[in-house]
Amino acid sequence: MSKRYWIWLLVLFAVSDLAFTFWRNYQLPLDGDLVAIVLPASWYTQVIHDPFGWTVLTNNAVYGGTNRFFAHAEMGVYWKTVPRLLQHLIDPISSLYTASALFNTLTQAALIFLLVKYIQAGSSKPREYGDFWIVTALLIPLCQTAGGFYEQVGITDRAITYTFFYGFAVVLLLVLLWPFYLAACRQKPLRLSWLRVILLVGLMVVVAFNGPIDTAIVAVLLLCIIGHWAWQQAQGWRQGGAWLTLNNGWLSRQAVLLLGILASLCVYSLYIGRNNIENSHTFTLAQLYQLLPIGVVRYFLYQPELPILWLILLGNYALLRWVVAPSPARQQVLLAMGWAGLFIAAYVLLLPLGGYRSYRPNLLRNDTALPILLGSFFAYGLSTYFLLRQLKGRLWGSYLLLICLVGCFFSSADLILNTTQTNNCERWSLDQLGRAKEPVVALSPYCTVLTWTPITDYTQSDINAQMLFYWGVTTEKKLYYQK
Amino acid sequence: MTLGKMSDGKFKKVRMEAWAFMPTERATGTLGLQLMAPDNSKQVFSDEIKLRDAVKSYGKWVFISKDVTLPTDINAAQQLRLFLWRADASDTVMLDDVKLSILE
Repeated sequence: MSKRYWIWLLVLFAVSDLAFTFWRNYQLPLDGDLVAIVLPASWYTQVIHDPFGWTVLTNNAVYGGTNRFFAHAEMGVYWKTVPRLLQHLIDPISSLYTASALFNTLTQAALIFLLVKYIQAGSSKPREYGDFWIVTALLIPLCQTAGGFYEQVGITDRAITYTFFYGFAVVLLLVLLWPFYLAACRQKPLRLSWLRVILLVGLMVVVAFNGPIDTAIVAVLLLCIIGHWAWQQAQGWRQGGAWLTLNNGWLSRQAVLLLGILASLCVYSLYIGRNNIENSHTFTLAQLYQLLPIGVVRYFLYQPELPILWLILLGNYALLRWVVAPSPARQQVLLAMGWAGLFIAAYVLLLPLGGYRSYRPNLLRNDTALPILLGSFFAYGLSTYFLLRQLKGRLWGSYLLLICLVGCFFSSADLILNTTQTNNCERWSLDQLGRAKEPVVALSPYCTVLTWTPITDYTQSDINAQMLFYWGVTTEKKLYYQK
Repeated sequence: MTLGKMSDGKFKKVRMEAWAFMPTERATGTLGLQLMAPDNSKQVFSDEIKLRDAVKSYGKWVFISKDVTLPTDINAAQQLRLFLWRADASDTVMLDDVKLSILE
């Protein structure tokens, strides 16, 4: 069979996986943070009225989501428009689950697409026909959608709110970092037109005020860049050359200026983020660091995907080091793997600085581990694809077989869904609300309805009732409780 | 049993099935299905298989079945009852292998 047909098979695999991902996401219930952010509830209105936290600076105000304006705004705009648009085609209840599935699926597709582009750009080997789809097919089995090893490696979340705050936030960050990454890969000074600079600075503002994950990633990346720059300067100084030149290689004056703006915005964001009312916990930083080792071990061993993936990465590193002939391309892949490892290690070490949430007792979960996951996926895609092009003969055949078997194992695991996670029961409750004549409706207690736990006091359902009325699920505001 | 314990999603149609034994034509009864309010205070829907209509052969076991379309406004907390009712019978009626399944 010619390569052309293999590539079409890979395209079919990618499209089928996307369809499966959508179908799986369509079965998920709505989470308990959604309405409070979208409506918004009274405890989230201040962040909408004060996007950049001036009242934190001027009055030391403390409120919900102080440095998360854009994540709140994105959710508000999306959930107030998309379900209503979909209602031209489908009923109001289905429109909610379709909107949720669409966003989750498109975010996963965007993350894979961006990772593939990063991997392609990171490989110095000349492009070949079908490159894009081969790397895509390598990455797809790693992504688990609400089933299989999701708790460990889900890059989008069962709770759609978390996909906005983590997965989608990282999509925006990867778009923002793309010109810097491209310049670094090509080792050419970053030179952007003024229009692109303006767009980039705009995106920086969005990224800096878009939730917890982007600022953490930027902090780690900037530390890596500064460390690398300092190391290079020291090398130059040792060799008797001039040192302390700010711009170096891809780090043009423009790049330094832009990264400086990004750093300043993130530092400001982290500063006002200290006044987020949701940060309330009693752990000291030392206690959080004591939690870290056990948290990392528990997270790492909780499910088998990450141990298997890292074993393959170790194997890839060994093959690159001792089997593949030395070349600049090999060196680049090894270097990229080293950077990914360094980035992951630095991120884990700085994780306790991000605080604590009771629902994340081990600090690490698939959402906070997203940078670790994407770093691992990147290293896996880059090294595996390089090895598939470099290895020869029997070794190539055995390696290909191993990668296919591992891919099949991950993909088959993803097919198993925990049935308690479907939205059937919630849909039924929404249907009941939509048909109810009474102003306060008793719903069954078998599942949550737009909450994290069942509502036993109907007065607590007020914002959900408002939102359901807005979405057209009910014809008037219907309060509810569950018993 | 509540409907929500029977299925996690809403359903529209169920099938009642059983094997019935009526020794003579004096035997009568119904296989009844009732949907009650969550607190069991009132009936919101009912349907039945009249055994006299469904069973035409006496002295042997006969398979009976009926598909029942439920109201559109059923909810998960409502209680479902399935029972044999033979208040006006003057002879023995027996049912075995009674089964209720969700069709759609």
